[in-house]
Amino acid sequence: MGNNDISGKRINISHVRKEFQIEKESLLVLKDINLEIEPGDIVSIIGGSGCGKSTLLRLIAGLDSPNEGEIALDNTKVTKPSLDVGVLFQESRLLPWESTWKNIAFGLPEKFDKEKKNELVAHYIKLVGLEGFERALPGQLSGGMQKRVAIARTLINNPHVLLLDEPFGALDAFTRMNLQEEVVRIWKEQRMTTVLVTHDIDEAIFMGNKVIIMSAKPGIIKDVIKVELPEPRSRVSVEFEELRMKVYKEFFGDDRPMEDYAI
Amino acid sequence: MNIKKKSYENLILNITAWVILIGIIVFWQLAGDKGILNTTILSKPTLIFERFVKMVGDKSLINHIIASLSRVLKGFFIGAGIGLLLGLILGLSKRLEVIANLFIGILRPIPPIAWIPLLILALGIGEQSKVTVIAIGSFWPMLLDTIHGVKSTDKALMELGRVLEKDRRTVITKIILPSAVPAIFTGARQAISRAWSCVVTAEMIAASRGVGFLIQYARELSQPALMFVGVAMIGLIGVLIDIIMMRLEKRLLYWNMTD
Ligand SMILES: Nc1ncnc2c1ncn2[C@@H]1O[C@H](COP(=O)(O)OP(=O)(O)O)[C@@H](O)[C@H]1O
Ligand SMILES: [Mg+2]
Repeated sequence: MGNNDISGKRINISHVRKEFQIEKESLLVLKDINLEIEPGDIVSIIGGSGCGKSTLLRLIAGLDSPNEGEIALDNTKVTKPSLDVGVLFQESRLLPWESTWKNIAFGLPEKFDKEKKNELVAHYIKLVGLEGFERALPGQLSGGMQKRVAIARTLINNPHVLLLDEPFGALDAFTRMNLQEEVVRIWKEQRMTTVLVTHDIDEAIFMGNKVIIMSAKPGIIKDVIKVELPEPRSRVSVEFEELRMKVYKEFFGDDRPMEDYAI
Repeated sequence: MNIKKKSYENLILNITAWVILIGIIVFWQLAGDKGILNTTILSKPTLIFERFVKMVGDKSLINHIIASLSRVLKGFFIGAGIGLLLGLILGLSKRLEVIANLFIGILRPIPPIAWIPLLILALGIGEQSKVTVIAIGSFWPMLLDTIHGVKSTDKALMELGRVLEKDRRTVITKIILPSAVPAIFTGARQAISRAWSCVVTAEMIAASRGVGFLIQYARELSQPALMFVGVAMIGLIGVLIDIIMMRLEKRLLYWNMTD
């Protein structure tokens, strides 16, 4: 099943402002966010907890709308969620009463040709390496396998945009690295425009072509760091280490001696 | 290792409970024999057992049980059925729920027994009013648990429905209803045990058969042994119903079993 024809959509974020009303207080979460993400690119957004990363991603997904400014995908304004935009949440959000197979099939529209559905689900089960677990319930799968189900469910619609909100945060280090590699592999095949939100610097560098650094209160984009690493990327190369230090410095400023970060 | 230890401890505790129960029965018997307890009021185990065996033999006991059970089942299906339906509607509609809350607040504290005079006036003293008392008893837990179950659907799954562009119908049938099933089942379990405990109340209305009738009839005739047979049946069948419902729950809610 060739999905090579899938190309991503351009994401345009212009002058986006988002505040939340809590009781009578208003909380400014995102202040004048401007960002353009090239079709088929993969970028990481990194920032401390509470700086508005999830909020920004939810705006792109159409789950919430900005108070000011707008977000467009290929020049079409985002107003509501769409199957063309796949979202992978931190929690896998599987239906606990349904099997792997049914959970993945749930990603497709309800009215979908049965034969085609069978074919697609089988394909994606294979893609994420879950053969043999078709009938297992989420409760019978490990966290990493649950995440694979969620990935397959998100990808089964061939979304042109893929949004990942700290998707591997709850997994152990090995599973996390494993899944990072798999998502990058799938992205290389399908080239959907991918936005990864994370608070893991290594993950941001390993997966993204750009690392967008956000700072909090109010959330703004502080800097964008280009990642230029020889492919396939190695987490232990000198270049990787240099980038890691650069991102650390962005975060903590330059007023601490280098040795402090490189622990 | 730990689990084994725990189940061993549970076994010991269970045995202890049984030993205490048997101890009480033995004490009751001895105290009755020695004349410490007034057997014309409290009877004693051997007399109760004799009566029980006799009633099993002449099939009168099973007839009373069947009479009560059929009332309970009818009342349960009607009351819990309406409770389920109404609960789904109210759970799904915030507006209707707000309106209904006033009525729920007023009506719910009224015990089923308080409806009896009205029911007799409206429906007479036949089966209808008895079944209705039971239906009222099982209606409330079903209604409230269903509303709760529907409303406590995981927000994250609701959001998933939005992301996957599911229509309202799909969200209800594939996300909300399955999520609500455990709560609905809890409601059903409470509803049926409430229905069963309402049977005594229901059979206060001019009954001529049934376990509840048996207890009152025994009181009128001052036959404590008969009364205890009736009371024991209420308890035993109540436990049995609970065991059956728990088994059913395990089957139905296989995905919800935290192990
Ligand atoms: N629906 C909401 N209502 C009120 N405040 C919210 C809401 N969503 C997020 N916030 C607040 O906005 C801020 C940013 O949240 P979030 O985008 O989740 O941060 P991050 O994902 O970067 O950790 C936090 O202070 C959070 O409490
Ligand atoms: Mg977040």
